[in-house]
Amino acid sequence: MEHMWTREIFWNVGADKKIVVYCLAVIALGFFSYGIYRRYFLWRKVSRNKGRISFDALGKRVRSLIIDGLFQRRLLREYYPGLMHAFILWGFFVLFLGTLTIALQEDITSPLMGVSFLKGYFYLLYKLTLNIAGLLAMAGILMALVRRYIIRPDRLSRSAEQGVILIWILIILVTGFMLEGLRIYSLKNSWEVWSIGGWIVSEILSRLNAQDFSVLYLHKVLWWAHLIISFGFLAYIPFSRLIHLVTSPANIFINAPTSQAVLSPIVNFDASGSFGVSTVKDFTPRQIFDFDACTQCGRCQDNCPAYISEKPLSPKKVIEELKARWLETGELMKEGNGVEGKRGGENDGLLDEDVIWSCTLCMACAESCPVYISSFEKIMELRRSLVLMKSTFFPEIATFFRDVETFGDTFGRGRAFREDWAIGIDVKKISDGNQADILYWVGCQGTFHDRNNLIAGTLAQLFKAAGADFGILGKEEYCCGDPMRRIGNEYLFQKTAQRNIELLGRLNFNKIVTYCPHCFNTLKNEYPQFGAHFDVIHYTEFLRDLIRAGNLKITKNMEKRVAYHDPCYLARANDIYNVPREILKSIPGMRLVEPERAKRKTFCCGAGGGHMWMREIPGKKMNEVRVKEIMNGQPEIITTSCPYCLIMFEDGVKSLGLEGIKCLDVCEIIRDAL
Amino acid sequence: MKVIVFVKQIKYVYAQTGIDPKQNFIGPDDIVHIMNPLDELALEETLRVKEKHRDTEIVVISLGDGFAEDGLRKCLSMGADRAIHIYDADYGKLDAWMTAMVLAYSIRNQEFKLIFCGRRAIDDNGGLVGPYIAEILRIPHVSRVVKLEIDGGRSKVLVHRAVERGNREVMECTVPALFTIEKGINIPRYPTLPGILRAQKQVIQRMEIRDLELPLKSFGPALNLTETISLSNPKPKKRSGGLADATVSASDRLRLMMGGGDTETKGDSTLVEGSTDNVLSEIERVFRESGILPE
Amino acid sequence: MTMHRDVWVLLEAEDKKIKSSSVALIDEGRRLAVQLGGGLTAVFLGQTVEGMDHLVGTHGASNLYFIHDETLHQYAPELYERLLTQLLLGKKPYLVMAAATSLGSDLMPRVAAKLKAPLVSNCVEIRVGEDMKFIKPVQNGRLHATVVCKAPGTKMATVDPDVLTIAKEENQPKIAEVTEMRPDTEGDRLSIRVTGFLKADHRTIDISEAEIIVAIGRGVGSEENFKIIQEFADRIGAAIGGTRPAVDAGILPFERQIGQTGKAVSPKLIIMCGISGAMEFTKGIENARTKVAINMDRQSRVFKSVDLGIVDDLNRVIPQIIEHIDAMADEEKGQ
Ligand SMILES: Cc1cc2nc3c(=O)[nH]c(=O)nc-3n(C[C@H](O)[C@H](O)[C@H](O)COP(=O)(O)OP(=O)(O)OC[C@H]3O[C@@H](n4cnc5c(N)ncnc54)[C@H](O)[C@@H]3O)c2cc1C
Ligand code: SF4
Ligand code: SF4
Repeated sequence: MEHMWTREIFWNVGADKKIVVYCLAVIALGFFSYGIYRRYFLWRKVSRNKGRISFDALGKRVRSLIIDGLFQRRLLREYYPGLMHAFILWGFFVLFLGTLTIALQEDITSPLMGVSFLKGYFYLLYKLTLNIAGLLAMAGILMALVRRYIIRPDRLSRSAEQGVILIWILIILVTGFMLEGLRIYSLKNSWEVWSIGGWIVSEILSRLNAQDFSVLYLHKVLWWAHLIISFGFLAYIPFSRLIHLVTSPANIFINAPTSQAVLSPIVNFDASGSFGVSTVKDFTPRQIFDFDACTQCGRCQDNCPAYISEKPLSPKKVIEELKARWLETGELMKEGNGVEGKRGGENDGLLDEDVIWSCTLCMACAESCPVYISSFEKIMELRRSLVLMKSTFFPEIATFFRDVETFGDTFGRGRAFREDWAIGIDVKKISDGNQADILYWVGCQGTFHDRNNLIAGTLAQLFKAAGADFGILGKEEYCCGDPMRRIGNEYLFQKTAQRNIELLGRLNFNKIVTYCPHCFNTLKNEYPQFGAHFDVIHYTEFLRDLIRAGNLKITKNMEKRVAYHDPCYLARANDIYNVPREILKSIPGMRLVEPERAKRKTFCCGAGGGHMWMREIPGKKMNEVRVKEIMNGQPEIITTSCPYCLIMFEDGVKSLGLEGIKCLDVCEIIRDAL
Repeated sequence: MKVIVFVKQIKYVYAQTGIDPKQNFIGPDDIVHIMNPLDELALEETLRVKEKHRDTEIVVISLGDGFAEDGLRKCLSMGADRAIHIYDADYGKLDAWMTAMVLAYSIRNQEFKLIFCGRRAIDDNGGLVGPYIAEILRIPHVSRVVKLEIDGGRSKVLVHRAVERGNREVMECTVPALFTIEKGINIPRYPTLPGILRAQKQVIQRMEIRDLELPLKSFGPALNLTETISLSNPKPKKRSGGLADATVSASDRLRLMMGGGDTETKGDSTLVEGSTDNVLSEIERVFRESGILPE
Repeated sequence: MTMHRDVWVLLEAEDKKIKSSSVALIDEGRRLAVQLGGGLTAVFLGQTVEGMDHLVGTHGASNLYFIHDETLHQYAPELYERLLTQLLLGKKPYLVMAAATSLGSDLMPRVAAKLKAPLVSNCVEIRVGEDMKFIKPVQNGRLHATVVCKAPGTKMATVDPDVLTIAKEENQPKIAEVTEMRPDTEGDRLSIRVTGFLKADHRTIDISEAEIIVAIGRGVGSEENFKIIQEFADRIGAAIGGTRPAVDAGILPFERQIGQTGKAVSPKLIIMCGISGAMEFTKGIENARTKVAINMDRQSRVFKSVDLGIVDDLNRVIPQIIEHIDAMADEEKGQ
């Protein structure tokens, strides 16, 4: 009897109670809205800056919302917590849709059109789906409870609120199933076996031989309890961590198109201005929203090389602490008791300086955050304030700034020595009257470091061997500005960038090939902020093209175990990780071993973010941590395509006392294989 | 309380990659314009004085050509209150004495408490201008100051003066006085961005030498007491080991380039190894030259 | 014209002995006096030094002006200035020289200003010819400038003590004629008062200020070996600095790290023990004057930029050097 397969919506409670339900719903929504409204004040008003949400790149935003929001792509990179969260999310999402469907029938189609569609096969499917969803959600909750309270990993804090939330959800689910079970038990329709959860409850009840009367009574009580608990839950959302139900997807939407590889420029250098962030009020509303979108999942911390190297930095704590500062300030502002400069408002101790200087700007935190929060962006703002406003930093950094200002390079050697690395190689110089197809941007490391300048030379020789038409800037080359920018000296960076852009704009070439991934990223992704769009490629891409085109012929066998380390600014920032692997694999006999963290998930060598010129902050040496990790694959050669990484690994290999392990640049391996 | 700092913008020869022996192998790329590092320390010290004595006015004065303005702007960005540029189109021709005359007369009629200079400029390696200024102004001076404190009543200054082997003489000096600052006294600050931006807009007062009412009938390099007549490359030190690439002389650089860029140049002499007597006599020589052992 | 071509040298004492740089200056003065055809006079302000007349005479000065008074036992800039100026005004020598020590470099400009005499500081060579030529390093020692005196009258110069060496040849024992002067300093109203003297402890001095540094690297190996380094440093009054590995190993605190991410040092002498001379390290010693390296690896990069390279195991060489120093010290005492 197909048409029988449905149910009375207000069974046992009475349709006349509908009005009460709706009143309760309005109250719950009222709380919810009020909560969101209060939050909105905090999101928008604490910041001194006006922020507007931009809607450009809408496609990308929506895509990320679906992929990372609904389908939980970033979360599912880790199985247990990923599935756990996805179960809860998907379960609730489906249950929510189910409730909406009922509302649709009861309040729109049925009264207005006399159509009830929750019946027949559709109803059975509907029931089955909802039941599965409920069971999944329950499984997720149980997994979550186990994870947080039994096997708790280091990155999770033991929070009472989280427990309350989990139990609350569990109660909603359990009462839901019980209601269904009680109803099935008293109606005794065999087809309701499709409502698996409810059926199980009803089976239990029949084993217990429950009395009809008490069943009906219990159902009534539970029905109201379930309703109130559920509405209560709704009302609780904006007052708890549950707000991430709103903020996280919103944040994905807001931040999805932001590239982590570029830092936002300071646009107006005005003497009366304030640069960087010294109080929470200096953050933009978007940045503040990040604080609220953070779910404290700890993935950033798990992937942060500084944290793993036991430096005093955790990107998760950074967000947590800033959030606390923001809430403090916001509450005080609400009370309106003249908070300017009071607790939470003042800069000192927004974060410890050691925390701020521990970051290597490797972007791993932002890469791993499921809701697109960038911790290092906030750290950068604080650095800017330290450097530009307060001028407090290690003395060796002051030396570094002076070196660049006086000599135009990060080594403080000077333009007179800029062409020394090329002595004996005979490289053309690009100048006003002298053009070339390729401009080979050597970079300060390749120019001056006594190990890396050999690699710069090897590259030039490879280009020559392949017959490429290339030239260098020679003495006119200058620091690209990356380290200054990432230490926080935006002003010096922009002056440098402008100088280079002016020069490059004047010259004739088609493409820029860089040795260093940092120069690469800066020229390619950051100079466009100042109106300069050059066609920039990394040397690995160039070599790959030359090999593919047959201009470089690999002839030798190399029976070696080789581990390739992905430089952050190549792999994570620019998605170049298959290219160097392709090059290496083109050498017969070579066995490529992958470090545990590779490609976009790579682990910083320790030199980024200005650390090449900074003392080691207490903790383990980051390069040693990475070298150890790479050595797990027992390679004979560690190779990379970044001058910074190479120095760090040579240093690490030496300090770990690893005998016979060679550190080579990819191009050196190619040279040996020709 | 007015404090004067004399600063010098120098043309620092940091390399010799030129090819012309007549120019001592100094090429156009071998020079950078920098503020004399010790003058920067002198300015930093006045800034620290100002931090303690809020009513301090810091006036920086530089004699020089157009480049002097860069140095003065840097001083302003670090926190100096006023800058005066005494313009000398022919900069570099005056000797220490005439320079001191100009600088001293530029402040002769001003009420100042303290004057700071760097102990020496790294370009001409003189160390004379500061003391000469003090003598011309008839005020006391202390050289090689590595620590300075103004006494509460502001009638005297307590200083440490660096002498040999890191030792220090402790002195008291009445004001007004001049101090020449030695390295080690402080680490100069890096200007803040608002400082840099402010300094770009600040006006640098410009003076001409002829406006200074020098007690001289004529003026110019003709009145110099000393004159540099030529520059040359020093004879290479005796080295046992080989030459650093950083300090390779011009002729060696040429050789180096011919030789294909191998930086492993070996000097004329070799390393000492094996024979202990040889080692000991070499080290003894070095010790004696460095004043560790009596000569 | 060659009437008054006398050369004067200013002497300094330390620990009741004439400083060796002063003795060497007398030798230099004699060399110039011979070429100029004038006499050599020494002048000394301070406390009596035993056998001074003999020492000065033997090295070639025929006269010694010895100005002494309680107030002069310690360097008092203004008194020294007044007394020396008065003396020179009366005697009008052709050339006055002092070593470019903390005292010489302070006193000479004072006197030169008073006399309006041309003064060339930090000379490394003085040539006698038609004009006297004073050679001095400029541009951080990269170049040498040749300076002449344009003003008539007494010429003055300070001479870099590090280039002054005591003449090897045997001198005839001779006694200089001493003119003792006891000035009246009662009436002097001094603006500068010397109130004390702080002796530096080479163990605690900041390495960026140290004149002598023993720098250690990974090659020193262990804390055990460090003892011998400490002993060595104590013998020669050196501050100890080191490379990053030495700091990482906990042998030295971070304040003693030299290099790109540590401190830049500018000592007169640095002795590098068990250091490979990595670029990150050498960035910190660019301004060191004399560099010595002890390393067992002949190929080590460190040898590329040193004045003296010793290829040997530091655990072998350093004890020998210590022994040698002790032996020499005993010899000194024995004399
Ligand atoms: C980002 C970064 C920043 C850095 N900053 C600095 C810095 O500021 N300062 C710094 O110093 N380093 C710095 N380093 C480290 C630098 O790269 C070198 O690794 C370091 O300077 C090498 O130190 P070392 O010479 O002591 O050790 P090693 O290179 O291991 O050299 C030891 C030497 O001792 C010799 N030796 C061993 N035993 C003996 C013996 N018994 N007798 C004689 N000789 C012996 C060996 O032959 C070898 O040459 C930095 C590195 C990085 C990556
Ligand atoms: S950028 Fe890298 S080092 Fe900095 S907080 Fe993020 S993960 Fe940690
Ligand atoms: S910032 Fe992102 S990754 Fe880090 S704890 Fe918050 S939500 Fe998780």
